[in-house]
Amino acid sequence: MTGAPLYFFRRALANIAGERTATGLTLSVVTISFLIFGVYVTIAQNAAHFMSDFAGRVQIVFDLRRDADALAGEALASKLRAEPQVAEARYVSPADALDRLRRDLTHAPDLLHALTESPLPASVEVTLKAEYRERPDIARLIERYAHAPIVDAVDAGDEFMDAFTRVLAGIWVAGVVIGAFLMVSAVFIVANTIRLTIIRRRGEIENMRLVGATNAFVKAPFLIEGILVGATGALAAAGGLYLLYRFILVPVAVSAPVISVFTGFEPVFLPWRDLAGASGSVRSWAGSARSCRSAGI
Amino acid sequence: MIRMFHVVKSYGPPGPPALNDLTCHIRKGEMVYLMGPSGAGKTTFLRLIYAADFPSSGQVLVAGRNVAKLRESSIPYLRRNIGVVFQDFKLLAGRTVFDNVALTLEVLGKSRKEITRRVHDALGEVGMHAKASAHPVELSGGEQQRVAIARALVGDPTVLLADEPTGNLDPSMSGEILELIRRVNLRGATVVVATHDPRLVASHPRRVIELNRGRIVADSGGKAA
Repeated sequence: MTGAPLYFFRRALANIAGERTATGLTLSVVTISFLIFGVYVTIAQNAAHFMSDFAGRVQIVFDLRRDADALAGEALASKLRAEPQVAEARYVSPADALDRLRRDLTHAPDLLHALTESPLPASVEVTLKAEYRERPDIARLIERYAHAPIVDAVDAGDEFMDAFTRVLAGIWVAGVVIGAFLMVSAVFIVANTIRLTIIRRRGEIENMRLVGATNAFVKAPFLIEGILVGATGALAAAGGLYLLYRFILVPVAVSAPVISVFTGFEPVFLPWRDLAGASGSVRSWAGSARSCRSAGI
Repeated sequence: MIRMFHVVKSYGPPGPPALNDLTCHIRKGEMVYLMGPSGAGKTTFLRLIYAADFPSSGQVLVAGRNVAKLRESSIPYLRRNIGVVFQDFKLLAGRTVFDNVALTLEVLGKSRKEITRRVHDALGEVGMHAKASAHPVELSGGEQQRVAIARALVGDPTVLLADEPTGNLDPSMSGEILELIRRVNLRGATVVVATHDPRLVASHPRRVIELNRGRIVADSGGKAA
């Protein structure tokens, strides 16, 4: 059938132009359903991003005994750096620790003014590589070094890590469940709006069949129409989502106390591949195909 | 061209069958009137020919194809050889006269150039060339039926079926429509016209198959199938 794709495309455009109100309604439904889905995915992604960002900041701190000198501390740091799961190990002298405390308390300089000697112990601060931040990895490292002669105490932030691991797992499970629900809802809504369109055009379909149209010939313009409406709806939803992200999520995330504590955290927008028209098109195509099947074409 | 052997078509147990042990043969190039009162089985007879329905038992052969054994995917190819005209025209309100007629050729995958030429020819043949850009609602009943005939004949069908084609028209318009149908027959197409109007048959006498309660009660020109 020469020129058939062009014919189907032209027919789909003619159908859209011929039923502006119905197409507008379908487009609105598609846009809103994708926008809701997008808002959810953005929030879930940022929550996961925040948690992983926070996990990256958690360190294992080996506090050293008072009698441990800098040379021994540097030796321990060097030994820890050689461990495959360690990203960074740094010796912090009591003087460095005091300087850091002074920097953190710039709003109350008098508090530390009287100190002539650092009350803080020397320590070795260890940051783990991203792939070794699970609790068993942390426990293994602590077990190996906690009993070193110069180590006095270990602070691994285990409780924080446990809590975050649980929250991350929760977000992931909720993400799968809610995401799947929203995805199915979007397909369902698109399928039903397109189904109504097919019912409205039953006469046209009957006529096409009467003059010998094959099922594929009848279906093609509906599927193309679904893809076009879906892609437009997805792009509109992506635009709306970006505006929400730029003018609501970013200001809220930056000003929220719990987040601002961790300076440097920046909310992320969805990867563009998730937002591409293809995403909406595929869902709409699925909806159109489902509608065609249920409408008997 | 069309053969039916002991065809029974039943739509359900409560009522009698729409067609009951019907056997007939309509030859290639023949024009036949299918007559009978409402409920006689005329529409069912036509629907079996263009595979809108299938016989409950018996065989229906159209241009050598056994409709009862047609796969669903083969039905469109059978219909491309059959033009159908209805009492209620069945034109698409949202499309122009030109586009309504063009639909038949679009389905066949013809080029835009060929579609334009053949649609204009078909509209010229039924005297509707001047209204190619009009929409069906802007036309009278007679004009709409002319467009429906143009749509049916533009694909050069070997069979033309007309189900009460003059049912919604006044007598003078009925005569004109029947004349158009007769011209399609003169071009070589086999034509079956279902009607309950004896005046129509009298105006252009041809073979008449008379149905009543799903059975052939008279056939003016039939031989044993």
